[in-house]
This record gives sequence, C-alpha cells and structure tokens, in this order.
Amino acid sequence: MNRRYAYWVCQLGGWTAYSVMRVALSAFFQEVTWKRAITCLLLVGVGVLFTHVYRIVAKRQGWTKMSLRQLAPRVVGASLVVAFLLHVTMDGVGRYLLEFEAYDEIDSELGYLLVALVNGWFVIMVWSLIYFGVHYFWNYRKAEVDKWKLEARAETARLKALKLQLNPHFFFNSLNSVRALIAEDPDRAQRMVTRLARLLRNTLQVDDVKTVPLEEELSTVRTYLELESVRFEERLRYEISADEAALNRPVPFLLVQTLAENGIKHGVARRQEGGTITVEAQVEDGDLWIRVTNPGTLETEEGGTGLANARERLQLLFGEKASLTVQNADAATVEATVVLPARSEAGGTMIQDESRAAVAAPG
Amino acid sequence: MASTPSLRTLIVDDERLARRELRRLLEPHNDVTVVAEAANADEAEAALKEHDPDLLLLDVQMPGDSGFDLLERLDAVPHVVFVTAYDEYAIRAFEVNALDYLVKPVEPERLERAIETVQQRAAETTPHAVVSEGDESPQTLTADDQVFVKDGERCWFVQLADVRLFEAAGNYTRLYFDGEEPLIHRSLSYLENRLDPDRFFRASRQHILNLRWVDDVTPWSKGKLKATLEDGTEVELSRRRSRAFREQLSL
Repeated sequence: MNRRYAYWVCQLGGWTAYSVMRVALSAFFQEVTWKRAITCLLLVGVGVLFTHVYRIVAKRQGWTKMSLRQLAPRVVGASLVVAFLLHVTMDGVGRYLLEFEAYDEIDSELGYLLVALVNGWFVIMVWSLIYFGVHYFWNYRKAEVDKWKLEARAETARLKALKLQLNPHFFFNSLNSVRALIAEDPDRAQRMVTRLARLLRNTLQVDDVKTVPLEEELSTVRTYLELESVRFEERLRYEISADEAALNRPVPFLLVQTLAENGIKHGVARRQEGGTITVEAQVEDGDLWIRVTNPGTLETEEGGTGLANARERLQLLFGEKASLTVQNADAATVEATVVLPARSEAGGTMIQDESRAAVAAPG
Repeated sequence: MASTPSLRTLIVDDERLARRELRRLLEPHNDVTVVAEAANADEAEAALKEHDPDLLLLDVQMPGDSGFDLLERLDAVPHVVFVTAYDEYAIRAFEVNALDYLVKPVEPERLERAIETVQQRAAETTPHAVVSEGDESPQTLTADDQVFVKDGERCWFVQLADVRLFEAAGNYTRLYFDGEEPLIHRSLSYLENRLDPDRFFRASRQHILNLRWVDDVTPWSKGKLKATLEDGTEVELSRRRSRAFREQLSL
C-alpha cells in the first residue's frame, strides 16, 4: 500500500514538474497561451498513462527481477517505443486539435521527428532509471534481510540438532546416578565419569557428513549401553555382535547409537521388567545390514525427530539406496533395520581424527 | 528447629540409585523421615496405604503409570514435590501450574527450600493419601484432604475445604473452586460415599454442597429448599434431601 502510494506521488509529481519546466523554459522565447497550458496538462496525463502501461508490461514480464545485463537492452528498446508513442500522441493533438502555428515553420519533418524522439527517449530513460533503480535497491535490501534470516534459521536448527543429540534426559539422569555411585562404589563411579566424558566428546564432535568404521561406532554404542545399565541396573541387558567383514565398513557417526537410544527410550524404560537391546551387523551381498531390536510394540512411527534426522543423514551420505526402517519383528519385539549399500563414490569424508585417537590412548 | 514435626516421606522413583541419592540428601534433615521407597505407581499405591506419608517425592517418568497417573488414581493425595531429570513437557506443566518440583541431580539448597515450603503447608493442613478402593469400608475424605485434578494442560492440588460445589456430569464430576471448574474422573455417588457427611451434603442427584460455603437456605416450592452459596450460586435441594436437611438441622 505504501509503495503504491509512493509510486503515484512520483508519477504525478515527476510528470507535472517536467511539464511545468517545459512551459517555463519555452516562456523565454514564446508567449504562454491557454493552448500551451492545455498541452502542459495533457503531457502530464499522457506521460503518466503511457509510462504506467509501460510499468504494467514490465512487471508482467518480470523485468523488476532481472539482472542489469538482461534489463539494459530491454529498457533502451522499450523507452524508445514509449517515447515514439508519446511523441505521436502529443504531436497529433498539437497539430490537428490545437492547431499550433509553429508546426508550419518546421523545415525538415524528419529532423524534427529525430530531435523529438531523442528528447522523449531521454526522458523515458530517466523515468526507467528511477523506477528500476528503486526496485533494484529494494531487491538488494530484501536479499540482504533474507540472507540474515536464513543464517539465523540455520543456526537455530543446528542448536536444536545438538540438543537432540545431547539427549539431556540421559545426561542428567546419568549425572545423578554417578553422584549416587560415588558413595556406593567409587571405582565404578570413576569408570562411569570416564565413559560419560567420552560420550559427551563424541556427541559434540558429531558432523552431518562424517562416517566412522562400524567397529568404532559399536564401541560408542557399548559405552552408551554401559552407562545406561548403571542407571537401569538389572532391567537393561544388551548383546552386540558383528561379522568380521562388517567391522571396517563406514557408517554415519552415532547412527547405531541413536537407534539404541530409541530402543531404550521406547522399549526398556517404559517396562517395569525392562528388556534386552540387541545390535547385530552383517554383510549380505555386499550390503551392510544393521539390526537393533528392543522389547515392545510399535504403535506409531515413534522416535519422531531422532529417526527422521538419522534417516536424513543416512540418505545424505549413502544415497537413495540406503534405508532405515522400524517395524514389529514379532508381537513383543521392535526391530530397526539399516541397509547400507557399498559406496561407489565417497559422498562423505571418512574421518578418524587424531584428537579422538588421542582420547583413546592412555596417559 | 525441634518444634517442627517430622515429615514422613515416601520416595517414588524407578531407579534404585536415584532413590538412594534422595535418601542420602535427606539424611541431614532431622525433620524428614523416609518411611518407604517405591519403584513404580503400583508399589507407591501400596506404600501410601500402608504408611500414610505426609510427603511424596515423586518422579514423573516411570515405566507403566507416570507420576501424574499415580496422583490421578488416588482419591486424595498428601503434599507432593515432583522430581524430574529433564522433561520439557513436565517442567512446563510445573511452571504453568506453580507446582513444587526438583530437577535431578537435586541441589541440596533447592531440596531444603522445597522441604521448608512443605513444612509451612503442613503446619496449616495435613492432607492424607486416600487410595481408591472398592465400596466396602471406604476411608473418609475430610475438608483437610486434597485431590489432584488434571484437566488437559492444567492441574491443581485442591483442598476439599475450598470446593464449594460438586456437580454430576455423567461418570465425571465438576468441581467448583477459586473460579475454576474442572472435571475429575469420579462419579458424584462415588464421592458422596467418601466425603465427610458432616461437611458435604448431597443436595440432589446433581449436586453435593460444601456446607461451609452455604450462605443462606430458604424454602422454595412444594416443601423443597433452596441453598444460596457465598458466591451467589443457587442450588435447589430435592424434596427428599430437603427433609433430610431439616432433620439434620434439628439435631
């Protein structure tokens, strides 16, 4: 609404100023008659009308969003057309309706036409410069704002993902268990703090395009399950088994851990008698199969954001052929299955960074 | 210090180490005695019946029924302080409804403050836990007792003394107190059987009145009475109950 108002103020104001200036200049060597006054008013009307049509066409053709290189030749051409139409109209009215005597004194009709065209063309070019210049400025400013918005949104998403990975419920419960263990079993408490630190470090290092060998991922999973069994005690049991051939295969970092975490959250933690988490990995026909089971039944697609996130990373790293499905294996078991095809090209980067190796080393 | 009576406390948490930790934190508090521990809602219910504690330290997330579910199962609840590790949903509920809660690992200072609050409340009222049982020999709910009411996002610990009117709504009953009128999943006749008859009067098939809130009773039509409550609500007594009211009054 505001921009529309500004547009009309500029149109009317601009053309009136131009028109008045013309009459004022001509007053130096011509008498100002009522005919000239009418021409002046007419020029304002015709100028506004023609440039307004010009604007409608330009908008419809998407000129306001074009780059300068695309826009420049179009504006030059269009301005010439508008200038020609403007001249023909004004000239027609002047000659045949108002019957100015001045037209009788023209020596060369062609020369007169050329001068008038260049003159009008220049005026419309100025109009275009202002009009598209303002649009250019607006677009630039909007792009700038959009860029900041996008950056802010990406940052928020990153923070959310980190919080999700961190699993605050798990960490606070674990810290609580450690504090209780300090009095009961100091040795065990110390081991637990070490594991907690390792897991926390892993979580903070998580990167969307990072893969690790399955062996390393399973070691993280074991750390995690050991910590959870301090909390759940005899209620949590777990079995981890993997084929020799599977151990060196790359997997998305923390993928199996996410699945184990889901298994505990939806299976073990909800049952008074607890249950068993199993993790199995095999290579079948070149594909890596990882199965994680937990007790319980799947009511809906549980795990929501955690699973969706894992699936997204999986596809990002291993393409469309990789899959993650969660289903009821039998009446009392939920099974999450990951299939990772052998990667033809390296989509992500295999990182076994030194800092982590240093953590594992004693001393 | 010694003047405050000891708070008999029940700890409810599914993790043994968490229960142990709370017990350890409570040790320096001479005014708190842990009378029992429970690992789930069923155990908690049995322990409530057996020990009738003054305070319930209640974990929200438990396998099976949650802490909230447990409270809703009970006819009346003692003082409650919730405990949670990290549950955004539960913490929002505590904040919105101004309920007492602690986060794990529990800070000793916070625990101390929570106990002080409960001690202050305990000095005013002593609500008991009442486990809902079959209809034979039900325990009486007195005006001092409080019920836990959960209506969607909102919840309250309502002292029965503050409830001026109970209104039947099928299998549910609407409670009127403090400008609120939530539903609880108990029928009006179930409540009639349990509420202290000296304080709560069945006015008709539709209503039970809290007699302390009755401002005025006037003859209505055809031998019926009409009670006006302090807030201006008018409740019609059935003919049979009007007779009973007169008899009770003449005694």
